[in-house]
Amino acid sequence: MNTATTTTYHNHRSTFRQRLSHLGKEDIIMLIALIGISLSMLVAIIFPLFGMFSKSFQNNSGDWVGLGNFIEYFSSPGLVGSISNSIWVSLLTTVITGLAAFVYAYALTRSCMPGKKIFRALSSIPILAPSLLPAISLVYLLGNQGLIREILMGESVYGPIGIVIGMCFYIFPHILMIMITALSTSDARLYEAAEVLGAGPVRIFFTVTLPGARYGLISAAFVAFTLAITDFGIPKVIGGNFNVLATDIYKQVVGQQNFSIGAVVGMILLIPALVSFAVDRHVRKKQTAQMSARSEPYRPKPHKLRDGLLFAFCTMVALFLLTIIGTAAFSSLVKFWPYEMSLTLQHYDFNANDPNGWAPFFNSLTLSAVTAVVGTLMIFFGAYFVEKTKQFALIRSLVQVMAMVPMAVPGMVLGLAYVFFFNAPGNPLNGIYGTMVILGLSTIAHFYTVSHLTLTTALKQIDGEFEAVSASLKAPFYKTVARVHFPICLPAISDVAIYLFVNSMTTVSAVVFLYAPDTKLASISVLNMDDVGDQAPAAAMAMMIVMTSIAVKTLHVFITKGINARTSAWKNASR
Amino acid sequence: MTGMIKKPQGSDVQPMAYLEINNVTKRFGDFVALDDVSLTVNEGEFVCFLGPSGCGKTTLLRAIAGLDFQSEGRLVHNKKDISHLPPVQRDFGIVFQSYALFPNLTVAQNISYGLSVREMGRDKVEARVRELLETVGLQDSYNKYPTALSGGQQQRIALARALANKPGLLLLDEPLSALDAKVRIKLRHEMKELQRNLGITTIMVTHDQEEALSLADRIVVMNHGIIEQIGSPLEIYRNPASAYVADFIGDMNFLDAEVLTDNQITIGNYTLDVDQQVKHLPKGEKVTVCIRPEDVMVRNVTADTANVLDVEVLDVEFLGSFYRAILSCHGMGGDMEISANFSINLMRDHALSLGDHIKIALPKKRSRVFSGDKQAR
Ligand SMILES: Nc1ncnc2c1ncn2[C@@H]1O[C@H](COP(=O)(O)OP(=O)(O)OP(=O)(O)O)[C@@H](O)[C@H]1O
Ligand SMILES: [Mg+2]
Repeated sequence: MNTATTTTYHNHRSTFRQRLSHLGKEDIIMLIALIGISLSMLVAIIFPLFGMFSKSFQNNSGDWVGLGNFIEYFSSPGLVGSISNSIWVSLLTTVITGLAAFVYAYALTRSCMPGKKIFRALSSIPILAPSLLPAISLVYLLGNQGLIREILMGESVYGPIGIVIGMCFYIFPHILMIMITALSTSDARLYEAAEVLGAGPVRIFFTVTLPGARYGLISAAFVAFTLAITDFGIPKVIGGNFNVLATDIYKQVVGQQNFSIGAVVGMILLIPALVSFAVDRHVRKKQTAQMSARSEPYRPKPHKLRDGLLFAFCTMVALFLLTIIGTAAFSSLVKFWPYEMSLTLQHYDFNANDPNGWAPFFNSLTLSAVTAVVGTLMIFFGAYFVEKTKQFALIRSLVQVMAMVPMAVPGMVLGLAYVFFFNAPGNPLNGIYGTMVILGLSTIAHFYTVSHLTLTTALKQIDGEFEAVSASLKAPFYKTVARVHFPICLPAISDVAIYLFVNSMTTVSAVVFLYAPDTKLASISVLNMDDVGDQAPAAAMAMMIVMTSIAVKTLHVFITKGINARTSAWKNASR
Repeated sequence: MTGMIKKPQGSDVQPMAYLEINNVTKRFGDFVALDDVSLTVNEGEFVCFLGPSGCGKTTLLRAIAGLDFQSEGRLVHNKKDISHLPPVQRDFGIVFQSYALFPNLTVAQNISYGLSVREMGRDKVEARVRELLETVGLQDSYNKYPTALSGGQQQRIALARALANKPGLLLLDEPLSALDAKVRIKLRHEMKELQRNLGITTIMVTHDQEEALSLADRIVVMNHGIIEQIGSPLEIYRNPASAYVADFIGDMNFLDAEVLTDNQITIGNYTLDVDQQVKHLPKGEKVTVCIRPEDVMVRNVTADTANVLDVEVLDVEFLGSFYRAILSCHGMGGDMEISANFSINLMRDHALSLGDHIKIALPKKRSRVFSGDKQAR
């Protein structure tokens, strides 16, 4: 009775062609969107990197030279010296920032010191500024006319000293966040167990706290090292004759038009980034396994001496950050440092100070706004397809893999790769070279991974059956995305949009290779004005960037409040 | 037993094959989740897929919905071959264990999600939503958000949403599993009533045998990607087709035995009569005798009764409406234990206590014999 059928069907497997002809209208829309996204990612990420890769094996006229460029590079002492310079400066920066960020994070997560919220807010100041800003401030403070240059006891700030101090400012918030995460994911019951067993605070620190946070610490160290070795703005402004890899690329490519050697340096810079990426992935897996769902968050108890010491330390760090940003603000308002310290707004009159006038600033605003909107949407849909659809598994995993690549590619390298790929004579996309489009594309690509991960995490928390339900209700998937997924993910979406906006405002490294005179950006204008000795206007433009970032962040706070007010209606409606 | 009283609608005419599942196989890589499964669902019928976790119930349901395509095989719904149609082009409503209500939409917006205002007009949509809310008894929840409702209420809304389009087929994937026991039983009754009133063909996945027995017109017992048995709840309970089904549904005693003659078996020193079930088996073949605890005869057992055993009362456990006794039978080779249900009356009348020796009988009509011994199951 169970197999009784009136008609007999011959049982045959469906062929590929059959499958294709059975694709519904929605599947086709989905397929087109997926192909669109993966093609854009290929063009924006993979092809350029491949272009740089092959350029490092060609001479400047495009002939294959094998390892010739590498041999030339490694036999030129002037160039190879930069490798050791880069490494020791970055190592020193990593140690200093690592220790400072660890203590700061420890104070924020494991103590009862007062003012935690303020300290936390202050710690994110450097994110709002381009990396050029600390270097400019340091010149004002410790340079030849510096206010407090005596504390260097005759040493020059132009060189490793300036680079390390500037880097510490710029890298601090990035690794602080990693350390805070590492120290927050610990199980309170471990501490209780250790206390019950009679362990003292020092023993607990070394047997429970440090091992618990070790993965985060390792990851933070690698991230710090990579950020330090790949940053371009700080050594460019304050490095003097001290050559590092990042400035070498710039000099080789922009200064001497030696693209082949530039590509070799790019390949070398890729190494620490790749290693740090691999370590981070590995560590992330270990860390999530460590924290079980039943873990209880640690709640610190007050301890006068500890809290007092940590408060003093955090105050010092915060003062350092405030001094740097304050110096930039102050110097942009001072008539003629250090001779005439009266206040003026004249340096903000860019139309009078610089041939480009205010245009770079508005270019930056446009780029940031467009990147925030277009980039967020594109990354959202990429994340949606990766996370929520079942068809086309191959293309989806391709998108997922490509989304991880930018994390492992320093901005300088990405920018250089763009030069090789888009500027190639045969490339049909040659037309976007020198336009705002290429700046936007490189910026979205540069910051893709973090945005993608944020949105994937948000989408993961949405019930996996919504697609099935909406299909059963005959509602096309895009309707459900618009009415359900998008509104639910709105907090994460606005976070990503702000992240893209602020980073587009402050970034220098990728775009420095890609701008044209009429698409110059604010951050580049800071660089150029500093280059020609217009330090005060450079500081003023840097401050414009900082103020824009602050304004946008403030706006974000209000937007988030608005979203929360609207979503609270359905989030925790009481029975 | 509810399954016997009710018949699918229009059952005096020949039942119509509404959904045909023909030789469906589903592979995940090398793993075969469904192995050549065939079955027919009649119009208006309530069918339950029952089986342990991982046996492929959900996989089969999702193949019917088109959410995951089968690797091989055909599906015919209402005479239309739907084997390769995407879910939007099939005619079903679905309810999941997780409710899957859209949290940011109100109850009314959830229910009307699949209703087109453009086609129906605003008034008709609203009227339909109110009608559905009335059907599930939640008229007051029109403007509430799902989080403001209890689990049981949310599942009712999910049910209303699945019914909004008047689908031909209702698919339910463990809709009651996330609810606590009381709510589960209440909602179970309501669902059955609703299904009967609407006459909608329904397939429900569950691993809860009680749920399947009380709800289904027919139960499909599944195991490792194959169908073990299809039948009405009573059939499955009374005549399990295999030791697996016997074990899975209800409580069951399994006794190792050997074939003696065409209608006799031996267990240790005892010789028992059985129906014709061992006719085809050679003498000495190992078999398993199955009998349910409630079928073990305790009253009116005399020397003349067939299949009498002498047992000792080892343990008695009070289970509310009856006692479950563990009896040990020394003559059965090894110390074999049999559980039996003792009514409260019986316990009182016979003043039974632990260690008592009594006589019981295993009625041959109630015993089922399967080839192979217990271990081989
Ligand atoms: N996408 C998949 N990939 C690989 N294996 C799968 C996939 N989906 C299901 N399976 C496997 O197929 C088998 C049947 O799964 P299915 O979800 O149908 O079980 P089920 O009977 O519904 O069980 P449960 O009661 O746990 O829901 C399981 O062993 C499962 O691990
Ligand atoms: Mg299931």
